[in-house]
Amino acid sequence: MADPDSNDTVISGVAPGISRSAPQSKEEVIVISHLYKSFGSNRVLQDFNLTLYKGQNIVVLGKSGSGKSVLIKCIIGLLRPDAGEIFVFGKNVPELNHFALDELRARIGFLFQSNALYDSMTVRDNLEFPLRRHWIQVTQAQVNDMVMEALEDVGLAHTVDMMPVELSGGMRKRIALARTLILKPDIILYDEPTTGLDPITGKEIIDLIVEIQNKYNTASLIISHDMNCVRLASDLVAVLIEGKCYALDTYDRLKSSTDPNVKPFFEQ
Amino acid sequence: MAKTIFNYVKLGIFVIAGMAFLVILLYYIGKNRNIFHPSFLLKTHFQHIQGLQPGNNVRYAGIQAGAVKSINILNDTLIEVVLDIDNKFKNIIRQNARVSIGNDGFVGNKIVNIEPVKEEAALVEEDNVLASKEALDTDAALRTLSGTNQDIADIARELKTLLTNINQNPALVKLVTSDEIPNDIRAALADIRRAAHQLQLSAAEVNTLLDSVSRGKGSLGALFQDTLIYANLLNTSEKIKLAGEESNRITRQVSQVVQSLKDHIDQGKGPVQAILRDSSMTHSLQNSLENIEKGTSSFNQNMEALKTNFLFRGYFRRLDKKEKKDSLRAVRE
Amino acid sequence: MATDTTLKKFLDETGRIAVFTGRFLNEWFRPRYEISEFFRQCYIIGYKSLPLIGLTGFIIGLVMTMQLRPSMVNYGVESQIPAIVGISIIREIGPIITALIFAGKIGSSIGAELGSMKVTEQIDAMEVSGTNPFKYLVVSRVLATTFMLPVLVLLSDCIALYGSYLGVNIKGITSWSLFWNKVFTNLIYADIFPAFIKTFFFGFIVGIIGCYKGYHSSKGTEGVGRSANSSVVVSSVLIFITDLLVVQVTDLIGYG
Ligand SMILES: Nc1ncnc2c1ncn2[C@@H]1O[C@H](COP(=O)(O)OP(=O)(O)OP(=O)(O)O)[C@@H](O)[C@H]1O
Ligand SMILES: [Mg+2]
Repeated sequence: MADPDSNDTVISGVAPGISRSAPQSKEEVIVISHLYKSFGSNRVLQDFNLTLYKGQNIVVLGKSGSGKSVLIKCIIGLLRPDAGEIFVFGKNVPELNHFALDELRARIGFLFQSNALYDSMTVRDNLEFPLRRHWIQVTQAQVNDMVMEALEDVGLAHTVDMMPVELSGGMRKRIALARTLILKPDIILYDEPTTGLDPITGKEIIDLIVEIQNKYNTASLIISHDMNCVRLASDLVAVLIEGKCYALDTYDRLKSSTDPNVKPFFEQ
Repeated sequence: MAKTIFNYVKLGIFVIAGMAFLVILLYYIGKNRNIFHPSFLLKTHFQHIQGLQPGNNVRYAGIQAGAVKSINILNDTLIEVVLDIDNKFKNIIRQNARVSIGNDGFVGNKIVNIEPVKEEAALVEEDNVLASKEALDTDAALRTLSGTNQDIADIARELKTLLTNINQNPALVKLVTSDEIPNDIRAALADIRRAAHQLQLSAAEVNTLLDSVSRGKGSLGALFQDTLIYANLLNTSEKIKLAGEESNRITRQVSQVVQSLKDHIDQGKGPVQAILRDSSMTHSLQNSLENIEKGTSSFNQNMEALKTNFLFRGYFRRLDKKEKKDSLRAVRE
Repeated sequence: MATDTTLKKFLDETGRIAVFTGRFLNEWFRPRYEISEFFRQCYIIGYKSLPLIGLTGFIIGLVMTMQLRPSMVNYGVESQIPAIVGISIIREIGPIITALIFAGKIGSSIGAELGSMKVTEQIDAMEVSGTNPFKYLVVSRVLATTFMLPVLVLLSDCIALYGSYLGVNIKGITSWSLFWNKVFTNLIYADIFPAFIKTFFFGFIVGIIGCYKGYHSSKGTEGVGRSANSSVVVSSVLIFITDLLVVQVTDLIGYG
């Protein structure tokens, strides 16, 4: 589905050479400034800064255990940073109360690294869960339509009445993706969407991510080690080293970088 | 949401079943404790309640009739037990029913037994105090009983003496039949004779009572436990009391008559003198009158002694109360 | 040194459970109310436990009666068996046995369920989906255990007494109505209320400990197993301690 052409369109749509000094007309959806987070003596994030604009895909690269998951959990409010600010749609997440946070979360999709499917529920119930929790006033017919639409997006409409244990790892990842996308969020945070998948399914997922972004003009933060994914889905690549946003640039430029810290990520 | 299909109906049945058992439990316990029946209160007094507790069952002739509502200490020797009795026993329990404390079986709880008595009596009313039957201290009971025995014997003797004195004095007999005695005195004397006859009958009954008491002496416990003898005792004592009342009235009259006769004799003239005419007769009459006076006062003393006896104490107290009430009512009217 | 750290661990754990309980007490009555989840948990926790608890209750009633009989016959108070079994089941055996079975069945399943949800980030996923997982998972379960255990105890009492009725009739003849009459006439409200009220506490303990252990499960499947296991152990011990306290308190206020 996603071919080099569509990929090119994405990049050209964002204007080549986009960087921190991107046109100010672009709407900022996530602004992270001076973020600190540590677990005991384990300093994970130290003075992390990043800005995500509407319609932009940023892929975050980093070694295992460098704090990528911690970063996006801070963004969604699952973890509370020690210091720093995270503005999402202009609201500082660490300072929000439950209600405001829930309101904000309805606009953010979050794909867990471990999928986090509710294994006591069927696929349908898994997908219905965020719908029902966020939009209480939705009718059953609407819910059914949205569930089927989301499942068709990931090509798994036939699994609607299955339990998560009956699905393969890749299918689970796609169901989790469907659950993330069902609310048509304005921001999507993907935690390793392609890990553990065969290259073909991985490619399908990447295509899906790109397609979603085109279709709804969403902003995404993607955590990935998969160079395919980095190459195809990224407008910008952020490299997380020692708790900092060490580098932020396009894939091509970083790939040709000679920086000894950045280079190893692109050598495969 | 979750796929575990769940059934409100089953959950409902489950919860209702549990609650139903609770309700049944509470209802039946309450039923046994008279909570859901209209009920009324009776009271009784004990000197010792043997560990009775509020909530213990009350049985009437062995039938579940209610529960102990409360236990109050009235003073150092008297404990009031309030019984909550099912209304349907209102038409059954009589005021002379006896209350005792017993055990429900070998290891059971304490229970309160209300036992009917063979004699007629009015039905109980709310807040009546029923007589209690306590396990008596044997020695004390024996002493009291022999005391009673003595009192009764004394009274009987006094009555007999009194009557003999009146009946056997020819002067007195003559006076009574004579027309020349003032009417009031004659009427009084006739009254005395009539009453004397009644007293004689009472005296016979006192003897019967004495018999039964002395027969029962051998086994005092049996005497008190046997409701028939006990009822007889009470019944007889009641008659003694009636006789006592009567004799009180009579002795008062006798004193009056004796006084007026004495006056006549002292004056040495008038109808009495005219009838008797003989100074020896006058003398014998004077003696008689003195004896009679002595007899009445001794009789009164014995009556007083009897009043303090525990067997009759309640009776006299009631009598007093009734008299007071009557006089109060008389005053009001 | 070893006891020192054990004591420290124990105190630390106690403090955490206290905080967790405090959080429950602070949150359970505030919106949003997870009513349908509460009923679903009631169904799973209460109704689904009935067969197991009914079976154990039945056996206890039957066995107690059969075990009591020889000595009761010796004392010549055979006729008092229903009264004695009735009092001991209603006052003590019913609540405690049911609570322990309940802790074994429900405490472990809550511990394991929440533990694995925690480990696989399902709890985080719920939070992200606009749900307060504490209310959705913990409050609904704790309330369900608190209200379902008393119902289970009542039914188990009833079934145990039925078992006792059968037990009485194995070697003698006592009519149905005489049996129940004997049971009821020897009971007073002071037997029922403390026994009934303490079952709410037992249910609460099973729920709160199971949820605490699951909710604070350490990562990995081993952590899940430990959560399930320790939630049963801790709640059983707490049930016994509570039982002791209830007896002391009812004694103190003269209800015993
Ligand atoms: N809840 C937590 N408590 C304590 N330490 C944590 C917690 N979550 C993460 N960490 C620590 O934070 C560091 C970063 O973890 P994180 O999960 O963000 O890594 P990651 O970059 O996502 O790695 P991977 O690519 O393997 O997923 C790790 O050292 C981890 O031990
Ligand atoms: Mg991670």
